[in-house]
Amino acid sequence: MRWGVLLVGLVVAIVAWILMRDSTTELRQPAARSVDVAAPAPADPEPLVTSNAALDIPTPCEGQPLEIDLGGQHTSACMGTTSIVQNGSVRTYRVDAIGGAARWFRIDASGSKVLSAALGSAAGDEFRCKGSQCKGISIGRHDVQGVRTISLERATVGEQVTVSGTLHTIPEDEIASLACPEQGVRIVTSDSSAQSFCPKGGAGFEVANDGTRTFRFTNLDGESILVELDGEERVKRVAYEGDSTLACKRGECGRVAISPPGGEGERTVTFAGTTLLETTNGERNAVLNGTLVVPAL
Amino acid sequence: MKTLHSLPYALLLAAAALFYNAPAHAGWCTLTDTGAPLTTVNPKPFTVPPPSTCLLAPSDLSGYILKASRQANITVSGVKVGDLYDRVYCLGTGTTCDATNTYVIATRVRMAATPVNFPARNPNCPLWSGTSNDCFEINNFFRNIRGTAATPVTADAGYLMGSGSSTGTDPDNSLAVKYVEYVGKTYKGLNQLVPPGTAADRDNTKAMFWNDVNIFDPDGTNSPWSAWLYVRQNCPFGGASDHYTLASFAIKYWQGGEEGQFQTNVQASAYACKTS
Repeated sequence: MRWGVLLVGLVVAIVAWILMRDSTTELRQPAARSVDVAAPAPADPEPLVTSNAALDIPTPCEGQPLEIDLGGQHTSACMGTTSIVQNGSVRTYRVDAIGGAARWFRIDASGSKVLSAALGSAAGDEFRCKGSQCKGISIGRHDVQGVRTISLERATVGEQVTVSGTLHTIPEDEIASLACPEQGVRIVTSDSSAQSFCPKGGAGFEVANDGTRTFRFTNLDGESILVELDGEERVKRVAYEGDSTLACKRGECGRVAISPPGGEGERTVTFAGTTLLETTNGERNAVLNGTLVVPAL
Repeated sequence: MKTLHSLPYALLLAAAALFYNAPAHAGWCTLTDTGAPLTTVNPKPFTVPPPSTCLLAPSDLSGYILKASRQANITVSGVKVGDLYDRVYCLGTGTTCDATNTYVIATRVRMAATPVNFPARNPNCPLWSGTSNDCFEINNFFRNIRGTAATPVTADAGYLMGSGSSTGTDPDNSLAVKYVEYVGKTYKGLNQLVPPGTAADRDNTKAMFWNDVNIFDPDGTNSPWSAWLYVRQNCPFGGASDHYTLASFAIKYWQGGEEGQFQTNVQASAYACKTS
């Protein structure tokens, strides 16, 4: 009888051990699976991840970044230096993507007025806007270094196509086709704007009905410097006509002089600290230094 | 259009240069306001001496006084390819325009000879294109005039070939080699319309002068100077101040591709009558 009880107890203990073992195995399985994923070490370990692309982190743009929205599809583009080409009164600002991406963006403008804009790529897709369709584009005045900032605030260049970002221009006097090495006037305004005025848009004279003669110099932005003379060839008024008009009258201009005709009939106007005041409220002034030449006409 | 390849034509043009003012002139011609826009003046092959249509003599400008004169670069792709001479005259005395408000807008260009950028590719002119060796050629000039499609304003056109040398530097004493071919109220030029055009080609806000100018023309006849091109209108706006203004895009030069050049349109500021 005692042996019988011992035998039964042994059988129960074995069954219990078996059951407990199976139960422990089931509980371990999730851990075992996680180990299975990580555990098989490759024969050649993968290198440590070092590129931003592989980490899906954008490479910092060392140019001029633009954010482009093509009908809800958002892309970023890193653009190079703003190039400038002049055709008549139309100035084309263009940026091309850096690093092989063939994206480009272009604005045609006359002074600060946007005439058209276009976004395109080597793939041939191109989006355009004209005149008032081109919303969100503003071309700023020259800063103290002569740089203009072009602001693109969800600039609309096509149906559901927008471009955002900021572009900077190179100062005109650093661009051979826009600079005037032999003449020109530096204009510095009291609100920290500076530019080199080059009269490549024309130079000449106008005669009023009262006989007043005015020399007019125009740059490729369509801005003019006017020097008005009285009947005795004395400077009566100097004016700068741009986005706003600044002017001074005789006795208030500082130094400005005009030469007698040279050998070929040309005349030189010299500005030396000539100071003009905004005509509307007098709150802004501009100081002119340099020379301009009126050709024989 | 390529009709000036041969030496005989060159000789004819030389003769024209000598005797350009030989024929009796008819003076100003009035541009049409309806229908086909172009008036035929002296198309190629040029008739020498030229027909009298729109041909002026200096005496046709007597009584006019000079109110404004300017010289401006003609800039294409950032390159100066020539000079514009842009003037305003009015009927008047001394410095005062009279009450008729009769104004003349005058245009003349001289194409630049100085090679820049790529002298090895073409030593005859400043090259303006990175992909073409052609000198810039103007085939058509357009000036803003008063008037609208619905309400045209009468405009008269005329031209002077000039005097002196065809290679001179003085706009008042240099000679155009090629004649004005057509004039009319349109904003289309060579290879954009077929003379005399159709009513659909009309633009009553523009005066067009068809006059080839090229310092080194592939057709073999160079004409660095245009003719003096005049358009006359009544310009009553401006009160006691000037009745004209320096206006944006008031002039357009059109290279129409006469010898296969790129078609190119260049617009610039120029004088125009005030419109209000």
